[in-house]
Amino acid sequence: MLVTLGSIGFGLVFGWLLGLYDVRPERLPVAITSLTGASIVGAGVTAWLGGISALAPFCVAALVALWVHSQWRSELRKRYPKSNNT
Amino acid sequence: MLQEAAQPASEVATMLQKIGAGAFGAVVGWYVYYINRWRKDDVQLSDIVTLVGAIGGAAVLALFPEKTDLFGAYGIGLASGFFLYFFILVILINKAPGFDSGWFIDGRGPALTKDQMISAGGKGMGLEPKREE
Repeated sequence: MLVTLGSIGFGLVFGWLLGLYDVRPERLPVAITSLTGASIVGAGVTAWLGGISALAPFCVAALVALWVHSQWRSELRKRYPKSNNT
Repeated sequence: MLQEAAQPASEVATMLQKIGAGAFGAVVGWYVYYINRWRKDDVQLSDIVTLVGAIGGAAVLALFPEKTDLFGAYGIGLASGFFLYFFILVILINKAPGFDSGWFIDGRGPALTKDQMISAGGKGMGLEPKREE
């Protein structure tokens, strides 16, 4: 139980961090390669420390956090257009 | 004690160890958000790799034996510290006069008034505020 909760927590932070990066069309291959690599490392650490059964909660939590973070940033950008003062 | 010592390390995790792992995770999570919050440029891929390395890198692999509850306690602490920082930041931004959620986009805030100044050595988000005329 503790391992499952921990892998969910690890996945939430992991997914949130991945959501920080804005993927630009001109750098799509590099971005996909790097983010995929980072995800494989995160999943590998989870599987190593928490066991294979911890992978599913980690992946679901990471995807949820990534989606929530992306939606939140997208909504903020719509609500607050780029400032000219900065 | 002797019984614990006789068991393989992968099966032993005392309550004190779990609390320690959770507290360690909380500090790492808090500090990861802190680093992210104080970065001055747009997020680069190398930043993501660095942060991911900080939360799940060699130190974590070396500290926690595999398949113990310690990783679980670490993960819970990590998320607690990380999102506690974020929620406190959201509350402070929404309560501070002149600030709103637009701060999260580019660090925007109210302009300095005539009787305000930036102290020597002071630093914010690395953005030059404009003085009100």
